Amino acid sequence: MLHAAILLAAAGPQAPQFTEIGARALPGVVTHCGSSAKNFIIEANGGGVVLGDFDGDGKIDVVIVDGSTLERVEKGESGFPPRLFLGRGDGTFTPAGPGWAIAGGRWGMGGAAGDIDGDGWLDLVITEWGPNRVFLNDGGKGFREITAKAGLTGSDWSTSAAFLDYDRDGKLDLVVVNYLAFDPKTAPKPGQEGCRWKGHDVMCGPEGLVPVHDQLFRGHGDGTFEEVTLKAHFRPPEAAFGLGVMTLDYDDDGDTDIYITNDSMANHLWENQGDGTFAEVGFRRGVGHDANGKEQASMGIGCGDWNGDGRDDLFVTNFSGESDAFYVSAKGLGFRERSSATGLAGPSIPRLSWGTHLVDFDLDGDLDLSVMNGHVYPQADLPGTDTSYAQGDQLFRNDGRGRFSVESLSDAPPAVSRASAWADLDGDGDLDLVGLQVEGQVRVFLNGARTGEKAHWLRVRLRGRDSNHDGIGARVVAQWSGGSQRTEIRTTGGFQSAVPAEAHFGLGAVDRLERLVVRWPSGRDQVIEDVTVDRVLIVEEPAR
Amino acid sequence: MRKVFFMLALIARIGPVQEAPRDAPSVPVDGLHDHQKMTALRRDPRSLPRSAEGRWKNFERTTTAAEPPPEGMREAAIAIRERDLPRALVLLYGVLDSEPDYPPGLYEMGVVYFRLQRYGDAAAALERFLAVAPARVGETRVLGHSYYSVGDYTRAKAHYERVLAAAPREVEALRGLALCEMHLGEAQKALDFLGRVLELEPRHTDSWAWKAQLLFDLDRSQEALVAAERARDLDPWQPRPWFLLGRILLDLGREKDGLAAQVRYRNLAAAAQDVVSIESRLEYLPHEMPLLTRLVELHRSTGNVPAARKALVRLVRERPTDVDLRILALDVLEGMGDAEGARVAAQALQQRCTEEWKAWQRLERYYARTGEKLQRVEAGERFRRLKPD
Repeated sequence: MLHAAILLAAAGPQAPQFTEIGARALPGVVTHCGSSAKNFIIEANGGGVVLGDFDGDGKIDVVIVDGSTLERVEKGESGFPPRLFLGRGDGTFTPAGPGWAIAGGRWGMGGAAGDIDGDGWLDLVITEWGPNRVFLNDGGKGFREITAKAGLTGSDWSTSAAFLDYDRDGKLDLVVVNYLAFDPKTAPKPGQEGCRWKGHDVMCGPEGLVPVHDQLFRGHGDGTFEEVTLKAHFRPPEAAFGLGVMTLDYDDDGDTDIYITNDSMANHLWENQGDGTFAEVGFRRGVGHDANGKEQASMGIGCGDWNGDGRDDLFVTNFSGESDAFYVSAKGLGFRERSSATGLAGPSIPRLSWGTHLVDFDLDGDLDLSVMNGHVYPQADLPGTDTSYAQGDQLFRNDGRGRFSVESLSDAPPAVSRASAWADLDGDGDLDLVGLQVEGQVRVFLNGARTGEKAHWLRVRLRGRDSNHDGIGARVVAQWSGGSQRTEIRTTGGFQSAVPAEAHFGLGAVDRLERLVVRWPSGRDQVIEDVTVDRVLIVEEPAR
Repeated sequence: MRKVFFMLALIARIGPVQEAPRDAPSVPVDGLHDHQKMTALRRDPRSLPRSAEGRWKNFERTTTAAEPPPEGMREAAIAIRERDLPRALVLLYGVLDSEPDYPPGLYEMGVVYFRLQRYGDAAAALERFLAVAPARVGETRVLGHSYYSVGDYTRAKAHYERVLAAAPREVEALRGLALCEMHLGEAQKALDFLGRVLELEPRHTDSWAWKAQLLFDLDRSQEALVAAERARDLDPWQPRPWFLLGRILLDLGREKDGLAAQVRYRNLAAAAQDVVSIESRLEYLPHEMPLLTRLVELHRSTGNVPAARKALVRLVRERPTDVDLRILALDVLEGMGDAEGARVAAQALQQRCTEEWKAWQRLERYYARTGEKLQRVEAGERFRRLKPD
């Protein structure tokens, strides 16, 4: 019998790749997102997670972006504050000192990290239901809020954000993804205005609510920005319900393009024209819809060169009843949706998926996928839904022959997962994950990939000179006898999350690179010969 | 949308149970309270009572006209035909509680659950149907569709193969098998099966569209174009063929044609999205007048005459003598240039609303337009006679 419990049960005979150690790594650290009844859409998306080295000790730290409740909003109280936890380098964290304390905003959603004032330290942007906020890093000692003068206009409901250098001036710019205009006073209640799903009364939206345009901000290099959304033609004819963002150079022309996932509407691919403007080419390139031309309810984005053709591929997570989409680069500049051909479609249909990452989790030299799952409707546990509220997270392991096999991501029980971010938290060379539930204990997934003879790796960090400090937007190519891998430096984690600015290569049996080629955002190419692996390599941009 | 296409195609072909005659007594709409429907919707078909071992062993022989179906079965069939699925479910649970495992009841329950997009429940009912009536496997493509709809392509494939072993010309099972092969990474096999579908049913729009998509994915754009054009010609109101055409034409460098197809797709898709949303709500709330009216308006906006006709039938069935609805039907069909449909609507208005002055006022205008002088004069006289001062 096709029972949801069976459909959503763990798959795969072997021990899961990841071990969930959240209770030990971040004891008592929980997030909030409204009431457990989930009567309003504002209570659905959960918070955000930002990974990066804020105190400059070489270990990955984590910012947990927390939400609020409608009761707090009604009383005029601020939301639960974002919190920084400093990494110990073993996958566990300790609360940062008072200098790092951040006041609560209205209702935190996601975040992005980057050096926006060019001082070499990682700064922070928090997206909110309400005004988005900017915090400068004071030399690794603490945060200083500069929201009031930062120039981030808009106060609707922002979800994801990403740093990029779209005009290649060496100063970080910012894209902010907006969802919809939400007002609890006028928002319809479950069951009103046809807010039903599979015969059950559920929260309303996003259909019937008003979408809000995304925004593009040009950085001045001092922590302030100016909105250039219209000037850059970064505006579609109609606003969409934006949720996820990915930066990538999809056409490999040296400048950064932007991909945005939208809920129940076509996704957008913004092609950088190289003159400070963008053109929306989602339909033309085949990444706006599923293969049938259906607009999906899209959330997270994974990005990487899965097929090794030198161009990035895009994996997009979707609502239950829809398959996730895998847009694989094809001839010309187009993509083909290949979730079916790669075995990704079927296992995704009963699940509602969020944070996802297309990286090499098992260090065998090809890209795998992590997918966080959890429904938005608690009513998913009622009869006849073919799904459930809590769901198991998934690891799709690349078989190296064009197909993925599905496994349980970890030993953790099913949860109502949302955003996630990757980093090598324990310094062992493989990529670990931090994942949020819609509310509750923050989870940390330690990767148990076997390193060694057939599982080599290399992490590459960049230090820009004419380019931005972390080389965001740089292309990094690892070459060895008989093969190569390409990746980009980007910090967006796809959905309400951010990852460290580094390139990670799983190399399998390759124990030495013939060369590493960096194409900096400044346009300069740099070649490093004969590179040893199984280490963190820091590459500095040469002087002109 | 894929599943909706799939479902609509299926619905047109469902029905091993004899339909009740049109004039059979039916349970009035008000005869069932909302809580009864809610209770039925919250039930799990796995909890139905089981029949005694061998109770339906001779099912094929016993289902003759001499043996009337259990109470409620005819009414359930009518409810299904009239698209009142919650009511059908109440009645079917009644049938199966009193006559456990009654095979036609299990079958119809599976179909109803499938239409409600409750695929796990559909599979549960149909698996039991198959257990008590294994000889009827050839009629159980919906079980394959149910497995398919939850992404279990391996199981769906195996079931379609069973169906086809018993009923080799079962087109929808063949199409389902093709799609399973596609999902299992066997594009060429999928194309072969779609080819067989199109041999059996050359006007199978959906299969032309799938063929176009598969060929496009294989970078065989010229062949894909032919298939997409065929799909578009067969059903010009479906957005999917236009979507494929737009993608294929742009891929072939036919910029102007590709962009035009893209615009057509966007217009149709916007309406189709609304139609899907309304249809899915109507499955649970089949008598909601605002939804039924909106459906008519949507089909009118895209110029889809066949769909508008069907939507109008559903609308006026709710209030057959409502003069405003009858006038709306005439307005819509006349406005869409559907002379044949407008004539039927005018006749119905005349017959069903004989004592309504508004009906004759509208008919006077209608006959003026069609140039039927006598009818026009008569309608005018009736209008002026009935109209209150």
